[in-house]
Amino acid sequence: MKGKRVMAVALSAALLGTAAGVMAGCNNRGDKLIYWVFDRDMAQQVRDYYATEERNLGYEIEIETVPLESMLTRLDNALRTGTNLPDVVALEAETFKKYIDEGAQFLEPLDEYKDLTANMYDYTVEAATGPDGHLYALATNVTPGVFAYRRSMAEAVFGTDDPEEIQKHFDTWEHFLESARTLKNFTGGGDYPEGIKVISSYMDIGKVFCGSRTQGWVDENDRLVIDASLTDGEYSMMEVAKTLQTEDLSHETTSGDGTYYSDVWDNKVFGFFQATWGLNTNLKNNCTDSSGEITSDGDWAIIPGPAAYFEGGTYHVVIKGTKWLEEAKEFVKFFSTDETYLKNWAKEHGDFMNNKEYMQDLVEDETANNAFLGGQNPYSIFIEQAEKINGEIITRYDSEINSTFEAWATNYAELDGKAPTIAEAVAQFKNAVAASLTSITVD
Amino acid sequence: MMRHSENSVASEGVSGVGQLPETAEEQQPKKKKFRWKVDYYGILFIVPFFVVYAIFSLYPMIYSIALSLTDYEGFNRDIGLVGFVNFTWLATQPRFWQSLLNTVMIFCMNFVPQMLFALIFAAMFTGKTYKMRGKGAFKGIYYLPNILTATSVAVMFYTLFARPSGGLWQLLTHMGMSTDVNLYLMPWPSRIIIAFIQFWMWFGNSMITLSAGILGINPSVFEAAQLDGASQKDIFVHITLPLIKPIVVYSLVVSTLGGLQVFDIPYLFLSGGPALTDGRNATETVAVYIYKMAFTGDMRYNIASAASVYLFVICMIVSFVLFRITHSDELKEQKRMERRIAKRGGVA
Repeated sequence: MKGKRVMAVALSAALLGTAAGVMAGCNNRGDKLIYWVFDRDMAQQVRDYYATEERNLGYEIEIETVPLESMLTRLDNALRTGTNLPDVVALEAETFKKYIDEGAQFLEPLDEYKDLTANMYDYTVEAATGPDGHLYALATNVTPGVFAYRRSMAEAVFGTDDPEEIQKHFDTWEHFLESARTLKNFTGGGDYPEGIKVISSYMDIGKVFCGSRTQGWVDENDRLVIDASLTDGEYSMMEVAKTLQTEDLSHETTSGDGTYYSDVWDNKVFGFFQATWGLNTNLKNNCTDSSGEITSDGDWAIIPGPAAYFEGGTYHVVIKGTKWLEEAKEFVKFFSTDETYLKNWAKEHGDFMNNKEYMQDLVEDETANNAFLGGQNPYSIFIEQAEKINGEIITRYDSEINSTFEAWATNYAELDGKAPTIAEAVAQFKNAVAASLTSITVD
Repeated sequence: MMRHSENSVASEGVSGVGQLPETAEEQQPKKKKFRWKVDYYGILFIVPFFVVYAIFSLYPMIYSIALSLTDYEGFNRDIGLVGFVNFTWLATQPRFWQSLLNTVMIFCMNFVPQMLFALIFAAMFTGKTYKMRGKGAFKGIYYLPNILTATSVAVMFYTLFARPSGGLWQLLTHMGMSTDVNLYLMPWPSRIIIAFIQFWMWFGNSMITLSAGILGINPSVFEAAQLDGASQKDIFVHITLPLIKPIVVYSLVVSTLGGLQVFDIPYLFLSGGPALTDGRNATETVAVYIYKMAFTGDMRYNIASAASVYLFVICMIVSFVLFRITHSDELKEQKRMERRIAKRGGVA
């Protein structure tokens, strides 16, 4: 009997304790500056450059690394309820605009740093400015996209691996497709029995086309706009995708799946469309097979490719009402302006940071040459591409609408026999947008 | 040494706790003494459940119902009651109805083979005459998929059927499928794969439940049948099946409710795709639709709540119907038996 009593009390205490613990967890901690970030490398840079022993901040920074999608769900809930809020958050370009649009409600304005933005890329400042004219975020990096290719294959097929020469074969979509056909028919005397595929996933061109549009997905009245480059003409996104697919010019993988990454070292694919950070994260990190015997390290080079686009980008915001206002602002400022950090980080990771002057310095800096890219200095191409980025096309709906459009472009390109026409695919794309985003007017 | 000290702490705890109610007992009038004691511990036992249930189930449920009647969207904080607008809006959405249909289709494709295989294996593993080697190992292996996390399972199957190097995709192309085929763009193959994953993950679980049911049958019934010369097949059809009916019904109810709320595999596998016309999606279940409505895009908590209220109502109706069917069956059975007995009595 006594045993049962003890059990009852212990169990009750345990369960009630759990409940109490959960409730207690809702309180703000407040004794450390809390930083939410979606990438492990970025968490590391805070430890390496900011919260170091030499700098001796006098307070601790609690870094929480959460995958982007989970972080956004968590942030949305925290913002709505006003509890469990972080002090500084790293946001990503495809999804950050909705917070900027609601900036006055949730974010601390960073207007005092407007003077510092002169050296930053204009589109990052434009995108980070709310509808009320206040500056709400500072971008750490700028993420122009390039076309990275295998030097050995270029040498074999085009007789040179020089980026300037290779760019001539890929400077327009027309030339891109022509070169893709050349690559497909190239066997190299048996070295490439199945020919070479120009890219791994043909839908990778989606990010190139979506990132190089002239119009965003919605106009100022939240009316859906489809940029002509996506649907009209022989070299529109839909047609290029269909050509790549039907003529078997790509390896037909899906971006991000196993084969996509093994194509980085496997000698089947000529190149990848990647943004600055992707060269490191997607290519360099996957350039060796699991046995360590086959590697494409050092066999790469980059060119601007057929279009200037961008993908991703990290923006820092300060959450409204933080107890660490000055410290948080200082944090955000550091990661967008500190010379030592920006230059060293760029060199270490081949990344491209948000400061025109420092990046220009790196063009001449031989220590910024990238061994993975066979010693190429990527900065002049990064700068050339970054200058062309149009920040006006960033809207709060990008992540959702981009993937919906790609789904219908894929249906147009692939569904053998049952494929919709472009007009049908566009109509269905509009239906899909209307069914998921009711705040948008679809004609 | 450690053990000793732990024991002494435990015994102290016991006597410490034990003393409290005894003093309480002394203060109570003698008549109510026993009853009070029982109630006190009974309540203590159930309080934690109710507290936790109230916080994590009851409150969210009521809150969802309340939200479904409001215009709570995005970051909007001025919430107003709008009546049943969300429900009528949802009713006009082909995407919502398709998600319901997908849920039912995926459930049916998974449940029927799941129960069939579970029954066959349960019968095999519990058979008295058919002695099989390594039963435990097989049971463990069949149950294993259920222990794996849904994420790993989804990634594994995605890789297996992915073009151009998934193992099963390649097998299918060797069997004559065109190499142009991308299964993930085709509604039925995608649904079938998801239903198969569900089947593969859950049939081991059903098998264990059914085995428990079979083992719970009084062995003398089987022995009597065997003595009367019944074959294995007869025993299974006429004794095992009718006697484990309650367990089958239990599995049916639990699986149906689980099936109606399925989220993990459909979401992780293709995130609802492939896209169909009119904004519909081929493997988007109601739970996935609710998640997407609430946490992506416009963050329409009101619509998501209304959809979950619909789902709740459907679950209630389905379980009511299922219980009703089984319940009335029992009554009928009883009446039939009574009639039979009465008839026999009349003859005698």
